Amino acid sequence: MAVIGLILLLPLAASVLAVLFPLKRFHHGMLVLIATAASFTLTWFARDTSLQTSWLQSGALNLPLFFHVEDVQLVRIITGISGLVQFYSLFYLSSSANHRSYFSLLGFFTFAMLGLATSTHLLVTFVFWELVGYTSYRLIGFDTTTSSTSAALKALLINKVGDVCFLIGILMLASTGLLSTSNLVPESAGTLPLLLIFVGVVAKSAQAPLFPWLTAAMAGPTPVSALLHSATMVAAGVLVLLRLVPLLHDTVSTVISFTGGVTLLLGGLLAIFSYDIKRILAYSTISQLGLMVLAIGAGAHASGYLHLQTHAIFKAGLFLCAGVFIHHGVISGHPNPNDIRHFSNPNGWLKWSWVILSGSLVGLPLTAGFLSKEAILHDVMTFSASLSLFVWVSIPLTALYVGRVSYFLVSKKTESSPLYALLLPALLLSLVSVTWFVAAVTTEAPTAWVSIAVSQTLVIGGLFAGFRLARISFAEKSWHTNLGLDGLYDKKMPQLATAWGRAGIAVDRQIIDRLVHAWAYITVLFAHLTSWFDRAIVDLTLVGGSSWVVRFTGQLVRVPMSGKVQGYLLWALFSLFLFLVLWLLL
Amino acid sequence: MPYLLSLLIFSPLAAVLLAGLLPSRKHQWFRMLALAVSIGQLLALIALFNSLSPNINLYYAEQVRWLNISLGTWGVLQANYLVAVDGLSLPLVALSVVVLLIAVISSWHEQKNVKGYFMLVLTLNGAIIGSFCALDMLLFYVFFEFMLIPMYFLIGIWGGARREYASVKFLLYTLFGSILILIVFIGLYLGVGVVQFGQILHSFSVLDWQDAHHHMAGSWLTSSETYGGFTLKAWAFLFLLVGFGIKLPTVPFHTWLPDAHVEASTPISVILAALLLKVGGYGLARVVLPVFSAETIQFSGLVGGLGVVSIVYGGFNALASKDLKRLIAYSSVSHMGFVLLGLASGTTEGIAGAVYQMVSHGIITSMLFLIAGVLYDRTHDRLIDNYSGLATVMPRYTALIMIAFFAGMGLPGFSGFIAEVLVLLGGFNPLSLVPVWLPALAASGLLLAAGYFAWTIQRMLYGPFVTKGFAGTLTDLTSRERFMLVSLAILTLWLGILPQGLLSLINPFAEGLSRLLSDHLVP
Repeated sequence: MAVIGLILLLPLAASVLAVLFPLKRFHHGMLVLIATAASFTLTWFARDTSLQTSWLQSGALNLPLFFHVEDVQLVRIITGISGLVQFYSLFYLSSSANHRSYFSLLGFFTFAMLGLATSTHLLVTFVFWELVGYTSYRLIGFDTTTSSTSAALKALLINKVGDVCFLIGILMLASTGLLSTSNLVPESAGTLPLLLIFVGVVAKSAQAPLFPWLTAAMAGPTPVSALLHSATMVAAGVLVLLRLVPLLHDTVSTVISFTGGVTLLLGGLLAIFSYDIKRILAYSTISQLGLMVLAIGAGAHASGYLHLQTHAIFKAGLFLCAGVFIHHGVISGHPNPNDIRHFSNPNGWLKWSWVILSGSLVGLPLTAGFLSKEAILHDVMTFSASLSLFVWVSIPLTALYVGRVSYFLVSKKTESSPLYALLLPALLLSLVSVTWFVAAVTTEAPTAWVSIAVSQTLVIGGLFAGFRLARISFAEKSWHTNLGLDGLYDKKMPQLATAWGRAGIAVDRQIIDRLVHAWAYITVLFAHLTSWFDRAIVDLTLVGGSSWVVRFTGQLVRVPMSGKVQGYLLWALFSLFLFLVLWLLL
Repeated sequence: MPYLLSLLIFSPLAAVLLAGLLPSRKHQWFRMLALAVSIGQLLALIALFNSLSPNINLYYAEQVRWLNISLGTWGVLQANYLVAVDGLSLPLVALSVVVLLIAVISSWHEQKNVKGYFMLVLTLNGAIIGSFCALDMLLFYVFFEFMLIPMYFLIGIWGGARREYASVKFLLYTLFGSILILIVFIGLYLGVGVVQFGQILHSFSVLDWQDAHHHMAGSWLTSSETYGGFTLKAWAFLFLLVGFGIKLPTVPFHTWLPDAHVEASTPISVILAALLLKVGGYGLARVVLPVFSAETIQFSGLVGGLGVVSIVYGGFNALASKDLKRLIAYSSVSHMGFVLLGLASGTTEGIAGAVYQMVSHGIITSMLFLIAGVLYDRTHDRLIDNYSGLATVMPRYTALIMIAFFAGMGLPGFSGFIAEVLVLLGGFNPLSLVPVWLPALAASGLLLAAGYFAWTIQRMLYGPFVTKGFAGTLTDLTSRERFMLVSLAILTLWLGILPQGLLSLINPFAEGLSRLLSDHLVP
């Protein structure tokens, strides 16, 4: 088997082993971590880039499992971040938690995400898309408290809406023979299937208006938020969208870019109003995913893809930093450890990681975020000046909320808690972010100096405005969380669905069953009728009547048949006399 | 090896005779007898798989002449003992053997009239396998009726509180259906004639029925006279659709199912849902589509529409069900809708998907009813709202609920996904007989399934554990329960991850039927 097979299957094997065999608590994590690390290392040794086995064949359908590594860097990012998060979780997870299922799920997620990223056939992509969604559901609800499991349910159902649309879209494409993404004919697909697939993307990548599941998903453990709900899984929608780029045409592109643009600004705006670090980062993720979707819709695929990668690195890092803050808050006994106002700064290294990673988020120089953000800005401006307005507005907006949060986190006095194991992944990720910048700039220096100068000015201005904003405190209003859409998704829609269900049951009970009962009663009634007919007509009239006739004639006949010889002689003489009279008369 | 099918069909019936001679107080003997028969059938099944001839349509066949009576000018009455398996019946026979074995294990602690119980279960066993194997439709009908009567008693005697109501309702519905089926079968027998040695040979063999050359000129099968707007053939099609639709069941002939399931004991629910419903789908695929191909094309929208209505309606009703068993029963209605839709599409993928769905649903629904039974055995309470936080006290049970529910949702990796995707692909195929919006609507059934299953997980498994009076009774799975659930879980995973083995068995049948239908399409 090719090396790519090993890369895919090692995390799966570790996941299955971890869940099947009872090991010591720490060993489950080690097993999965070693497998993921091995996958990561093997990416340097993969000579073949494809793996194909036959899987499903019936009629017109011939569906092989075909995996193809188009960009080895993506595989490295997935396995790398997965590995770092697994390492971090070893120290982050409380000792009472169920390590066995947690690490098994993390390993399974790595496998599913790799499958999603390397599959070339849309139906196979859908298989992994669903598996990723399932893992996400299990991990959000990992704590099994009512709030986290209802968040998991919400994530599952909102995503399922997308999944169903996605599946219908795929099947519609399949009916026209378009299923393999390796040989797409440009503009050969209809608008409807593409839009349906895009609904799937909207749900998975938390675009407006289906984003509320992502903020709810923050109920999961923080490393899970880092891995699934910011760095990798939510990018799945964008990845699928990138595959379909050759098929996109004007109508679809417009819908895509406007959805992305609205999400970009909405996410940035909502991030300003929250005091919950994880929710702020979730809105930031929503916003940045919107930026990627906007870029793809506007035609800037390459820079959108670049931002997907850099975002994965810096957002995973930011979440892991947030995890350290929260962890520190939990240890020092804060009642609300997610609240940025209560944060204290446990370690100087953490501060610097945060600065670099959030610098990457706003797109400051020396960080990878600078590369992708400036590239998107440049490309979108070339393709569509009107759409670039979204990007221009988002630049100071992002800087505003980042400045506000960073003020709370960085301005505090630094303590010196030794949290090095937890700090290591975030440090590594910020290092990657910087080296990426250096490597890219030394090979190809940036040229669009004007837009860079303007955007950097906006960023600096935004950051300082954010520092000011942090000193103003305000009460959270209901629309600050998800624009109040939660009421719709949590109450109205389930109520509507169960109301329909109750109506169905009422139809069953009141209409169909009553007809069946009526049928039964009519049958019984008819049976009673026939039985009456049997007794009254057949038995009494016909049977009884005929027996009466027989008895009557019998009695009549019995009179002469008395057995007396004299009687017979009398009857004989009477008959003779009768015949004599007849003979005389005729 | 010869006579394997007869062995499969008649070993349980022989065991019934043997059981009749045994003293009724020896409970263990009857359990062991039923178990021995099921294990023997499993071995015979393995032998059967090793004696298949995969290059012809009938993988394995046995034929013995049964009745041959000359009727003078009416021709010759001929009925054969013709049993065979092909791509449709072999998967269902295999499913039956497995599910019946599970049902026997699940019945181990039945205490009420053990002798009668196992005699009925064994009769049911032979009748189910017989009806899947019989190609002579008189024989099929005999087996078909032989399924109903034991089931009536098994629900009516060993059932729950409202068992009489449920069993009578079951009997009313299914007898009504079987009368419709019998009428058409007799009509087909009279209308189909094979000319042999100058004599007209009437036949009950479905192989003769589906050959249009044998439809006698001047009979109702070739007449184009209409009654109430439909030809007699169309009426016959509709009669059979209702007859088999009741068994399947399809909305609006489904209300016997929730009652029968709720009242039946766990193993009987398993047999009912996993196997008896399949006879409906089997009948459609075996008789209705091949014999009435032109009518199938004419009514494909109706058939597919009934399937989609079942999917959506069943899904909504499941969502609003408060009783766990009722929820599972409605989920069955929803899942069996995919069988109708797949058959109605008339494409190879669709038909193969329908057969795959029958097998897959058989496995998954068995798991679901066993899961409901685990709780009912411990607490005698099936109301979902009376449970919460089970994950904290029954972790193994929780793991298996997760597997069964996600399999029911059609998560990839489980057999249901393969079946549902094949059916939907068949529906979307440009050659499909159903309009595209039908499979599109059907796909929304997946959302409903996610809704009712995940919501049930949320309500029963998570949150704080509330005792409600059954604190000590909620113990985790016994090894017997674990064995049953884990083996079924392995089966559904196997069929979900490596589908081609089963699919290759089904494909020739699906291709043949699809070709038969497309031959009747007006070019």
